[in-house]
Amino acid sequence: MPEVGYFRPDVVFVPAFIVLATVVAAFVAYTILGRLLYERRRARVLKERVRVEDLLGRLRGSPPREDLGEELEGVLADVGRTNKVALVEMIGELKEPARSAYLARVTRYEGWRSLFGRALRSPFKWRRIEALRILGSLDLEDVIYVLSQGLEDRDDDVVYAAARALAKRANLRAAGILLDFFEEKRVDPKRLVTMLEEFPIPTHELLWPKLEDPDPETRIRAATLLEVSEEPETVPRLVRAAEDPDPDVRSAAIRSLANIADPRGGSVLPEAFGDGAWFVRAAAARLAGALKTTGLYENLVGLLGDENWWVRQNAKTALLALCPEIEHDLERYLVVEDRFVRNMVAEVLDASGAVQRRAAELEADPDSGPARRFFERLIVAEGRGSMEGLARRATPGVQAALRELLGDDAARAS
Amino acid sequence: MGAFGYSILLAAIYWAYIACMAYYVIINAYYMVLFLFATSENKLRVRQQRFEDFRALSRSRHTLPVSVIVPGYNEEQTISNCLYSLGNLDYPQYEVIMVNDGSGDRTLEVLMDEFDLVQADIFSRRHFETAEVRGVYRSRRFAEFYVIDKANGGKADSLNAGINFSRYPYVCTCDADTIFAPDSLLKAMRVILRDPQKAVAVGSLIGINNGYEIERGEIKKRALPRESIVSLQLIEYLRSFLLNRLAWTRMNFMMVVSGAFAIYRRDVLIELGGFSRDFTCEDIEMTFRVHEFMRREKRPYRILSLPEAVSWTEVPENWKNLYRQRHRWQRVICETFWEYRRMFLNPRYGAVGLFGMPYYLFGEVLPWIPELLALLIIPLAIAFGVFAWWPLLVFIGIFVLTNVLISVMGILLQDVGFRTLTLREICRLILLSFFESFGYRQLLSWARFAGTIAFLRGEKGWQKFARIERKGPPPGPKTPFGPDTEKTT
Repeated sequence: MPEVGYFRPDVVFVPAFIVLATVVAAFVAYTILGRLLYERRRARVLKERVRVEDLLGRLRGSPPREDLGEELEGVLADVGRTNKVALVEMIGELKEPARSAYLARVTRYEGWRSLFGRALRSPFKWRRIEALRILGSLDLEDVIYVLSQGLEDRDDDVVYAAARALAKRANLRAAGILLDFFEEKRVDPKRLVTMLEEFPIPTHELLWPKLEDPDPETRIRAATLLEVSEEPETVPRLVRAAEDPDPDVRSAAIRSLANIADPRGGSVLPEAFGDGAWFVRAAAARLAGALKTTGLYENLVGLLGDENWWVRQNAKTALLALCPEIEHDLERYLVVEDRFVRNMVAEVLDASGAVQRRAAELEADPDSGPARRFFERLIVAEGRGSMEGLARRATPGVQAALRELLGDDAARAS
Repeated sequence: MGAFGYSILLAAIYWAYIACMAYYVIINAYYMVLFLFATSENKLRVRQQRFEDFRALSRSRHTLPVSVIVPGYNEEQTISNCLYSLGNLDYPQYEVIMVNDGSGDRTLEVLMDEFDLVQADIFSRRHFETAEVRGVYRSRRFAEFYVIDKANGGKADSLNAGINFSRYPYVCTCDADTIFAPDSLLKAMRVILRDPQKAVAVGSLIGINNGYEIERGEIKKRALPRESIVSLQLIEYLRSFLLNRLAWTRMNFMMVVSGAFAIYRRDVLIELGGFSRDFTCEDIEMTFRVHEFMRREKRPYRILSLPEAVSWTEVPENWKNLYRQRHRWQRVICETFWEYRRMFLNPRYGAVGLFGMPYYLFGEVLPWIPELLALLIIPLAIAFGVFAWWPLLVFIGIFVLTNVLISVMGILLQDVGFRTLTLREICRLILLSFFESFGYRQLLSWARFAGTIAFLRGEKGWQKFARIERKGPPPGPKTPFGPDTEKTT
């Protein structure tokens, strides 16, 4: 071989090949064996789950019993970690008094400390998260304290898990901690609001005072969270908040009134329809739809021509909610000058089924005056092109009538 | 050839071989490092997902709404399934905007019939100038579903037209042959909802639906495709998405958000001027542009890739179409790299400039050089006796095994995270990966070479491949005035 360089492939490649082949074989074996072991483990978990579900069925179906409690401890000892955790979570969802009775059994279970107690201090964050999730289900002494400590964890995932666990506690102290936690900004505010909206017990007592807080962000959050309140006293407080100097607070209050849909909330509408902030007007439209205030439909039609798209969309949705009562009144707006208003009214009438009903009328009686007038106006609102497309898809009876309205000579001749 | 010339030739062969080998060692060492980061990121995302409360997210009105934009040109075969799958999304608030880019086939007619379209007057903001919009339609069957019919202007132009009409703070772009899982938006938006201030873009693993039975946008049966060429592409996708992109996400220089499924924050797209019509593929260029802009402006941001396939697309089923596709991709890669070459090794651009761009150059733009050169050099080295034949054969074995190893890493990451492949499918893919180095890789290298030449010659153009013909959905019921409205406003 000619002497070209110093590299000796025969010395380098063979050991490299052997090492690489070993590594590849190891990876392939790990992949395949790992999958086989997973399938086995899964089969075992599913088999255990049948036992767990069977036990739960009996725990749910009867008052707390000593023998079932002993069986529970036995199952906890026998099953793997996945099913232990699942079982404890499901017991946390039982109704009282079974829940407390069997949770007490869980804490008496020998492996409790290793499963959850030490897990809270584990260096592995996913163990800490798992433990926090379980604690969210349990009525243990100082569990609120433990969960609130989780909010100070260095890891964001742990903090989120702690917040979620607190949100499951039917305890005003937990709600108060979460409401204060907004300031920390460790969890996105929208996520926290979502958690608090589903809080298991009413939180209005904590939220009412916050409607008067000097910080507008706090007032906005309070107004937003009160949307799920069923307490009658909430409505007048939100009505007062609808006059807040901050438009975001006004908007949040009116949206919450829309959600509550109490007729007393309607008193804010006249002023809100003309508010300077578009999002307040949009919220007002939503409220009008929720309260089904047919008397204010003209205000809503006026909002269809608003400069802001969201206001128009909300007004359209609200008008739809007022149908079919106002359908006849809406027909005259199919021919107004503003094409966006015409178009949106057409959409409302289409979505409410008015177009279908008129089409059925036309099919039954092609000379029906009201139906023909309706479609003449609809042609103005939606345009010939659109109506021709609809006519193509209509049944023959309606098609002929529509073509005549559209001025189709061939149809007239036939 | 004299003795001097001969020795020069031998030296050239020798050093060319050493260079190829050095490249090979470095790039594969890089992949090993990527694997470590990808494993860590995969584990994090999978576990976060397991602990997430998707039920609450799917019901909450505070979950950020999304505008889904579907640009399409001559997509009569696939558009219905794509849009039906979008109609089935489990997400509290979203709109679908299909942009018909001047199709010459029956795309618009299919949409008219399938989705009962009527013309609508919808006000749009002219953030970007686009080709003429000929008509806007809304669907009587699905609320918040619109079709924009416009003159042909290309995919980027269509996306910009869709953005003009979009209302929501986030925009999801996709291809017209993409099928979505019902929870795709939820899973993608979940990572954005954790940090909406910083997360500006999200991509995901794109699955391959060639072997699937799809009806009305729903996947009825999944199966690994029979054609080896498609399975080889699946292996490649797993490598690329799970090894590269997850690791890049972890190291905060995610270089490519694939246009088949990408979510962007709308205000960022508007600030950047929308998708560019100057590039053959707009998705890679937009990702680079976001990096360049955000780093230059020193704004905190993140671009992420998810490890799970939440959407599936079609891939070429024959060698000719595959070649065309990779030819086009290579042109795009070269165009984009050249346009943003100022970021290369520039510390001002942080990890993107110091790690992402070098990888792009040596791992995407230029890898065809050592691969094709090696095909030439090895026989020459043997013929001229620079090296004995058997060590070079062993080297080929090392080359094959390394590719297999990287492929197995991708398959392993997918299986550990999501277990969507059966054991039999895993074994088949592993076996196929041994054959990838005999023909498939060489074809791709050749396509890359030709694509680079095309870039140097300034060629543009798309060259779509034919779609798979799928069974159409059954016709809807007739009423006096067309099909029933399925969903009211």
